[in-house]
Amino acid sequence: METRGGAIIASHLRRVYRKGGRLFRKGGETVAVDDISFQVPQGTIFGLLGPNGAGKTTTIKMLSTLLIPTAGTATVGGHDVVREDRIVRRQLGVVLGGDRGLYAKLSARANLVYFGNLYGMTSESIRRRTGEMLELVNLQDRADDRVEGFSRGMKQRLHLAKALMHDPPILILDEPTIGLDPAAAVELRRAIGRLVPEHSVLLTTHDMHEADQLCSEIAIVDQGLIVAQGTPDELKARVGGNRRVVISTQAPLNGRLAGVEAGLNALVDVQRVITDLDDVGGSRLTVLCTETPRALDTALALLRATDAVITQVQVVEPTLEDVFLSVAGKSFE
Amino acid sequence: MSVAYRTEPVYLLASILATTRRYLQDVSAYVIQLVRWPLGPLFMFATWRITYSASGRTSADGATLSGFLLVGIFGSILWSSSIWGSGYAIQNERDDGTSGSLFLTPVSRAAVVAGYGLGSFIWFLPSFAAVGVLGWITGAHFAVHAPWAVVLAVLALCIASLAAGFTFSGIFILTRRGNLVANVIQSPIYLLGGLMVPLSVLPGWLRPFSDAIPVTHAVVALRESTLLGAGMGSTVHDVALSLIASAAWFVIGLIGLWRVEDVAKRVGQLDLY
Amino acid sequence: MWQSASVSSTSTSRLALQAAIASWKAKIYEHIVVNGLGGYVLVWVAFPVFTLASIGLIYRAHRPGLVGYAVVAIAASAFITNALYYVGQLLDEERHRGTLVNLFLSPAPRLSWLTGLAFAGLFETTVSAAVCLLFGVIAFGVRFDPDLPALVLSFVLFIASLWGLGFVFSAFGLILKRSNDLANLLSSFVFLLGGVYYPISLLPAWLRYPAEALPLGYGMQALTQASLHHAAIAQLAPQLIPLAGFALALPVIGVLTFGWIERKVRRRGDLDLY
Repeated sequence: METRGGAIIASHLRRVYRKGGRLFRKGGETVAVDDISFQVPQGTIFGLLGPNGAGKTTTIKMLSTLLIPTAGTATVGGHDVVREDRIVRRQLGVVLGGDRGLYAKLSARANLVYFGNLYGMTSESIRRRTGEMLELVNLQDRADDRVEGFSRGMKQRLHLAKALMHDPPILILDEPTIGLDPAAAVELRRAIGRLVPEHSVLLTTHDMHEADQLCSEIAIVDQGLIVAQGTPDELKARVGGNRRVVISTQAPLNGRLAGVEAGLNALVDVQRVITDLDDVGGSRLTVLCTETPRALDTALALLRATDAVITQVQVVEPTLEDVFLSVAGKSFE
Repeated sequence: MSVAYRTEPVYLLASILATTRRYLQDVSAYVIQLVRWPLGPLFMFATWRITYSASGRTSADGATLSGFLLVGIFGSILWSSSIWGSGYAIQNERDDGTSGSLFLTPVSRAAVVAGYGLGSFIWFLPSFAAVGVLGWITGAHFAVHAPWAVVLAVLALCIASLAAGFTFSGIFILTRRGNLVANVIQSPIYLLGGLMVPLSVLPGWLRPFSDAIPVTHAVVALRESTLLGAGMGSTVHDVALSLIASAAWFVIGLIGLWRVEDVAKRVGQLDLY
Repeated sequence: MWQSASVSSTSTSRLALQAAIASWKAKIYEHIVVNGLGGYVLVWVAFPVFTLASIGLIYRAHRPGLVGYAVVAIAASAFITNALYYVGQLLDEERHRGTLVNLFLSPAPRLSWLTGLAFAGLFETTVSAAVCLLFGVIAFGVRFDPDLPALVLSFVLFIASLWGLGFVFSAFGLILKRSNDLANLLSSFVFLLGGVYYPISLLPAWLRYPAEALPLGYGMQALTQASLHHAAIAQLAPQLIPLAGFALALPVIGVLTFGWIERKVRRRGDLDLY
């Protein structure tokens, strides 16, 4: 299969919605996706991370042939999503967000059999894959129950089974764990993690922990644009200065803190020292630094010299939220 | 082991049959559906039969009242099965929130619509049987001189109904008021299609509207071939008119289906996904 | 009892009225917005006109005397359609959207929002019936000679009976999950026995008995006599007395049935499934 470098290639995708127009009145425009380009390498999970309304779902709809881009091109498995939409659909398994999209009055098995037929699979393949998929998503015990009685987590797992039914080389998962309870989300993430390297996966999520855990590469999307892209470590390295050492003491240190602050500020690795009270009334010292061990050692030594009783020490690594904050200039939510 | 795929023609047929099966599974999940379809036409037949008796008529367009109504109800069941089956196919998927899943697959949209139509036709079979028995009990007089003419007329009626289903499958979505339009067209068709009202009582200015409906000619062909002993000659004439109208409706239907997908994908509207 | 400081309490009767009016407004607004004014007018207003045209054309040649009856009865049948379809269909829509549960969660009495929903339909149906009558006058030359007190009384009793009947239907729709299909089945039964296309006196004897067990035939008879033949209240006593009985009993039966079925559905735990 010719993939010209990536399982999915999006090149300058743009999507504008026109709304409210009438015959003699021009309607308004909403730019859902402004200019998005990325490549999903073979056999990896690529994440599109962004807050609600960033343009992730619109991008997914364009890539999965449900929406024609206003501008730009995209290929899936080397095939153009507009001109070769039918070939693209065969190569693609898609899990759309939410718990709709399944036939509620049909059993899990009947849903899979039906979709197998819609993908043109042979009867033997449908039979075999139905069993395999139900086992993969751990629904074999409820295979013949109607979907209407399933929990949201079970429906999401069945969605994944449906997407994998025709064994597509490429998968698009749009917010697959949204609305799931923590246990169900963990279980589904495990299943997603097992999809590589056999499949190439494009995953959209607004859960930074999920993106960090599953994706080998991430594009952060905001207002229809990619504002940062790289591996999770690369992205976090960009905001390396935001590593934090947080130390709490049993009692407030009041005047004794001035010497500690001065000592820490003397270190070249330390960018800033913040002191305040913690939730239980003790002092809390937050040290923003680029080199954690030296700042930690120094802070502990200086605090001990004041006879402070240390109750908690935390080293906070930068998160993707810090990355988003740094590149978008606003909080993720 | 990788997945094996069907060849194109087999794929098309299999997807029609799978949709038919799915439709039947879906619709039979509701108890009321099991009761409604065989009983509804019986009540309808009785109501119209009493209405005609009350009107003082002893015949309609040359046929016995029961025979006339029997064919009319046969046509109306076919019409309903098409409108609420194939016509409502995509709208139904949208209502159930499954249109996104469906449009993600490479299956032919026309195959899905046809699958609904076939499923709906099968679902309505007990209704046909029930009306047949009732017509026979109430003395419908049949005069068949050319059995092939009857077969031809039934085929034309099926095609005419399917054409209507295809036409409306796209239109229902494009109007964004599927249920509304499906209901609105029901009564005019009973009147203009000559299903329950003799064409002879229609005012002249309504006849062109009546002629543009494929079902009208097919119902005339079926009435004449089953009730009035018409031969192949006159049946072929009506069947030809019906087929011409059906072809036009099919074209409109295919354009409508294409337009639905185009509007959904290009304009990003219709809430299909 | 805990009570929010910021939300003032309200009496049950006021809450009921508030809920009824809110449901009524919401549905009218939604119908006009969803269907557009054109679609709204086409379906809810002009829908029975085609049926009237069919029946009128059938009667016109040999039994012109029945055309007037058909015009009034088909206009009145719009109210039957409303009772059969409207509330049940709205509940179906609410279930489909997943909002049915909100109605059941509200502390307002069921009767209030059900009435609100029913009255939303009543407004549309009244316009629809008026269009039918107008069509009868224009297309078939029907002339009216009404006795106003008799007509008003007949109408009120007829509507009250239908209101109760509508609750019974919507209750069964709740349990069967397909109010629309139930309404389709029942409407064909009701049109057979309800004296819509013909007076129930023209039914075969064996069908007259079940027809007389329904309020519809009495209502149709009273409405047509009062509007076309100037029949006074006293003359209509044979129809109005049983109709009054139905008007009193059916709303009570309807509310009790709805409550009983709601408990049954809640016990089964599938109020929101579809």
